[in-house]
Amino acid sequence: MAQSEVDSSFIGRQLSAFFYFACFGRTSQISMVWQDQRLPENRPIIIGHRGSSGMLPGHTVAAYQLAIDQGADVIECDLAVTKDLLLVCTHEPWLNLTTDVAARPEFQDRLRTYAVPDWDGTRIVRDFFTVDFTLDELKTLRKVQRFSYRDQAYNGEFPIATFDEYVAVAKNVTNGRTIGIYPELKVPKFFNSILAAHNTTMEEILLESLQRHGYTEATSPCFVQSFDEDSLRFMSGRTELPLMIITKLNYSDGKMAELSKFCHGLIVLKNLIVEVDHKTNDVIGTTNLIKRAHLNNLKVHSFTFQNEFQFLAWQYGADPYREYDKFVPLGVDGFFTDYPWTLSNYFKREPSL
Amino acid sequence: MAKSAVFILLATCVASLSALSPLSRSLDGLPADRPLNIAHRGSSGMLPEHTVEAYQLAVQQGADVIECDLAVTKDLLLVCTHDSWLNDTTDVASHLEFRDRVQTYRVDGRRITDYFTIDFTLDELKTLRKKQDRSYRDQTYNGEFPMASFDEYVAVAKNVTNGRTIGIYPETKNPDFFNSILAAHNTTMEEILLESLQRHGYTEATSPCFVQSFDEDSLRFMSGRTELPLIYLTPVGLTNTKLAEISTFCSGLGTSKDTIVQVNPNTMKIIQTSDFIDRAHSYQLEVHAYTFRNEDQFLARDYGSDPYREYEMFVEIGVDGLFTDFPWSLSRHMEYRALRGSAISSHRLPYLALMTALTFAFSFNARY
Repeated sequence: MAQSEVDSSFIGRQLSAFFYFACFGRTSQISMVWQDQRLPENRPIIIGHRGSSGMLPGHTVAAYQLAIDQGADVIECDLAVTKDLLLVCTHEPWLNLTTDVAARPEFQDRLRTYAVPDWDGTRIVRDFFTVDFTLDELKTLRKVQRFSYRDQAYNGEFPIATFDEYVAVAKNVTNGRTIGIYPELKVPKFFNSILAAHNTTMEEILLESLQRHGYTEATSPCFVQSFDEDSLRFMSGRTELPLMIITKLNYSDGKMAELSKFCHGLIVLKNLIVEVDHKTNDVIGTTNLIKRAHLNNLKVHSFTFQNEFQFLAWQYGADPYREYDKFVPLGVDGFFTDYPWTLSNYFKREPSL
Repeated sequence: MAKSAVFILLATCVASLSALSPLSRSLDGLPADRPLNIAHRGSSGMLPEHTVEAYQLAVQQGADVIECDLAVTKDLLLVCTHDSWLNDTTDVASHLEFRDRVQTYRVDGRRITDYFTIDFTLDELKTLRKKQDRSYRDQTYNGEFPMASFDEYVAVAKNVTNGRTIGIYPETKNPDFFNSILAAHNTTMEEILLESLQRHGYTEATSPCFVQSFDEDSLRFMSGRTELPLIYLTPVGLTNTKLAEISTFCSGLGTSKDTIVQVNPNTMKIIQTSDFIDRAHSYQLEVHAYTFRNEDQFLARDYGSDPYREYEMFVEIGVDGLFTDFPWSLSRHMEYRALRGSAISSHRLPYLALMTALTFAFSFNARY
């Protein structure tokens, strides 16, 4: 090669690097592109709760992708099972709250009453249930924003996401980072009461799917969560994947020791870590839950962190960053948030712990 | 040909840089290199507004300036309160000793029946207690704090022990109303304020004190009698002609956020940003925007219920000051911006493009 050609390509590379660094200045982000396929370990992980569900209808491909674009490390999905034994991501097995199913005349005969057992008792629910729709039928529905105080502009635009589509978003190469998945076995006893007729269980359907997608190791970027201890015990006998048990109640040390035999960690209501008086909206105090969990070799992820002021104690001055100030030093290992952009912004500026 | 191209690029970049940068300002002790954090009624998001406690909290939380709306008392003294009427923000209605003070006045074109500051002496007002009149804010301090007098407010600003300068920002509120009553005493709200400012030592063009008003005549009157920077408050945009006129006696404007970043009130989505700041700057008028609040009903959807994203939008556009009910949040956001350091914000991109082009141009020349 002639000398001048070498010089110009060298200058071109220098200019590109200069331009890139000067514009974006985030050298740490650049180094992540060439790291192992692991989630960040120097700070708590950002879990996009139902995707970026503060800004878009939850559990849609759009919300999952937006969460990643906004800096989430992990995207979270609640599972439901369809009539044809496929997995979709939706928060409840019933559909009226989050879709336009009630406006679909072709499905009005699917309205049914079921008893749905959950961690806190059994609910009798009359609604449209995923188990009475094939995946193709569910795909004709459109999602709505279930919270009146959030953006209604996308109602009727997005379909329900399947579990496969959700995984595809996480694995999408253009994301440039390792994005974890976090499926929840939601009310598995309800689904299994119906799946028994098909000689299968929700857990087995999920395991097969996870295997097919390559999530098999203890170090795979995948957490499996549930309120249902039996479900997780079943899973622990059949997978290396980290299992997380969800609770809205405190655990004794003895219970934590027992759970640590098959769980990677706990997912706890934020009030179990920083107690806020629901009547006065004042912070009462912090608990020792995280300390005790860590002593029992259990990670702690907490839910749900939302920017809207009605979810923030007065002490935080209607500022979600101030709430993170309170929780991060206590040793939380992961945050479920409806607003991953905000938490990502927080971690970009606050010194890592 | 390469050289003239570079020159054109240079000229364009310099021109665009000057249009987009904040005006440099040099009030004694206040930051000149970033927009001002103006605590609107003190740290009024967290404590009852216009109380010494709210002003002090604002200072602790990083405000550069604390803001005070003025009202006049029966004994011709100044207090800080948003309205000339008292029932919205105090417990006056539960003071049986004052039940005969209810009056009807015409204020700003509206007939209002209430208790008015002008019918109470300062000592009497001091027996009242403030309450939080926004239902979605902390009601815990209702009945705890008294009203703040202007002198007490100034004392909070001056009493800062760590070497920071805290600016003051009094507003002559409804001066027509007060002056219609003060005429009988041969004085005006403006003269009472100016006397007080003089006594407190706020007299120079560089004193850390802005005087604001919606009332142009009030500002014109004061411009003939003080060097202090005057701020004209306007909820809507102004024509260039009006800007030119205002610039002859004001150093800046206070305007609603919506004048600068227009938001559709039905969808709460940003429609567009206006050229108002650029135009104001071209007349040497600095722009302070109001009012920034953390609660999500005040935030365009585009910001994802994150007030820091709204601050970023306005700081990037070149606003010179922000009136906020939450100075703690604004000061945290400005810390984050300072930490960003090496990142290039959008209004410096022309400069970056210039440097890249120059580098390339020189290397191009070097090759041949």
